[in-house]
Amino acid sequence: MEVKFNHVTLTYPNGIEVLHDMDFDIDDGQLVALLGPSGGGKSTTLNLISGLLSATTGNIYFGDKDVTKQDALERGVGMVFQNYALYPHMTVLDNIIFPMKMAKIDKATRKQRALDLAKLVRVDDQITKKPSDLSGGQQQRVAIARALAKSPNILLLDEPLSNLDARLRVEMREEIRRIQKETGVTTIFVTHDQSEAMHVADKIMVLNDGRIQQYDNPQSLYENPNNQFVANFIGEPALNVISAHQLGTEVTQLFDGNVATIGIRAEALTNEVKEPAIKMQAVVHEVLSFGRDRQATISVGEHQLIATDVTTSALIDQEMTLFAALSGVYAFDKDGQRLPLRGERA
Amino acid sequence: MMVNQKTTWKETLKGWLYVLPMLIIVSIFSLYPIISSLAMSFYTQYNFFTNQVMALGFDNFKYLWEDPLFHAAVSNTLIFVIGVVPLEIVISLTVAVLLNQIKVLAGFFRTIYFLPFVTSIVAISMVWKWIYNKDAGLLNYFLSFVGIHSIDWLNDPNWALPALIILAIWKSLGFNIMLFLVALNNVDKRLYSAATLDGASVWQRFWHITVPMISPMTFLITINAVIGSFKVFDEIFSLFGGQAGPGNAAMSVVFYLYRMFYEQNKYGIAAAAGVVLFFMILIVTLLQMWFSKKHVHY
Repeated sequence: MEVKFNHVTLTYPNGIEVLHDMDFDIDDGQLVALLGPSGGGKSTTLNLISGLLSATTGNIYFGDKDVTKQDALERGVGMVFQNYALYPHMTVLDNIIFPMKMAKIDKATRKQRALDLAKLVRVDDQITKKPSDLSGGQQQRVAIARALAKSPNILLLDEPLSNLDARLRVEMREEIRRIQKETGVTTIFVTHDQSEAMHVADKIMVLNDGRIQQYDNPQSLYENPNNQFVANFIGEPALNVISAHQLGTEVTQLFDGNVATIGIRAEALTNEVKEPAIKMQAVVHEVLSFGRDRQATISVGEHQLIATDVTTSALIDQEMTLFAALSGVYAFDKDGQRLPLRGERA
Repeated sequence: MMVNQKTTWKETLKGWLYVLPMLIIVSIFSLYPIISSLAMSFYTQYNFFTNQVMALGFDNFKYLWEDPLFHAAVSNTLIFVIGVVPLEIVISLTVAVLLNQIKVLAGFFRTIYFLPFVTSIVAISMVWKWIYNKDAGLLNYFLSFVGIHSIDWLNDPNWALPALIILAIWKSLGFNIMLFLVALNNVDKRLYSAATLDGASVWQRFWHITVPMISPMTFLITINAVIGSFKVFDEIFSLFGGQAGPGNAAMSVVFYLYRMFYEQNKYGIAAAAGVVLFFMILIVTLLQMWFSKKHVHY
């Protein structure tokens, strides 16, 4: 189901407005990530969608229906909690059955549906076990199956992968995507891990300070960030930031507006000739290889930079010219807003 | 000492030395009395003061088997247990759930409910004697509002046991409420959020989440209450002024034991009554353990 926020704000009883003018649409059947640092408003936004919190102003629509005043149950959302919140005294099957039991679906139907869901999330060989006998990943699967049991309009996942170890995390994020594609249910999940969001989501909403910083598909978010926050938050290693005066007017005049800082993607920096690019005098301190990854530590004036495309042939500790491909160079004004290339104003 | 080494006799001995002081105390004050009272229950002719045993046998148990007063004591004790324990659990759980809901004055009410637990049973009984008073008592006063005529709680053999049960329930509430509050607080709040989203009503959440999640505590309280109720004595003694109620209407097994031992000096019979009580408690506790296997979720 489609979700629509119409100028929604949230003010806590103490008078502090924590979400400002949220206005967005989530298309039917999409997998959307709410991404941001702690306290950015992503969990709050999720709770507004679920109905666990109610909006102070503005309207929320599921499809054409105004659900602003409805609670979580009436909205028919399925939720997977961060710690899964499985019922510890029930077996896996009973956990999945529970919402259907509460909905008074007849015994045979609910059991059949629970078995189907267990198969979908691949825990069908664990159904007689208690949650405490399952691994983290399996608990997560059961929690998803339970959330899907009542055929929710929307599936919400709160930090679904944060309790898993690194390898399981990669496995489960693929699983979440697979389950979402198989069921086609509109799914929204919260995460603070940009790579998780980039890998799984159809669209990502970057939130900070209770505002939407950018809402776009993962690739445009990376290639075309709105502001310094988004450019910084998305991508690993983090964006290299250099003050404008370090690079001089030769660089700043390329952009339209009052350039305060320049951001350079780690993979845009290279010691090989590239066009179009900006040139800078730099010292390469070290080039390290980790498997297929390479990482060079560089200094440009007083700034420390990280580059991933400097070859091992670079001369160490000697001043040399480095190139930064223009597609990976962003200019920001003093408020962190992105400035366009001269003559390219949108 | 390495963890993976085999334990030697020397080390085992050293371990026993550490527990020896406690072991001596337990042996003298617990194990020895238990064994000697078990032995005493078979002494049919016995001089308590010289500790001379003249004859052994099952006569003490035979006496109990035939004594109508002991039968009354057993049946009163069973009625008392059945009357007290379920109500005690239900009422204290209800109060605990309600106390858990309120934010203001919760501490105040907790203190009020806890007071009976820290008050001496003699003082409590004196107050309740007044409450139960036929003509000036509070209870009869309140009952008169609903059209019930004055009941002579403490002197009518039909009402002595109910009076005792009411007192015992009231006295036990405070501690049990406290324990239930601890258990209720330990239930993961997110389970309630999950259940709410799963469509469970307040009552369903209580039944499907709260009750199973606090079951270990309920089990502990039940075992404790059953054992405590089987051993009822001091409430009877102080409420009925050292008697077992009007016409022995509130005679319990422990009171019977007390009377045999201290008033009639029939030590063997008193010991035998103790043994019978021990097996009654043992059987009930084993039944509870068996029941808990299925219904208590750790």
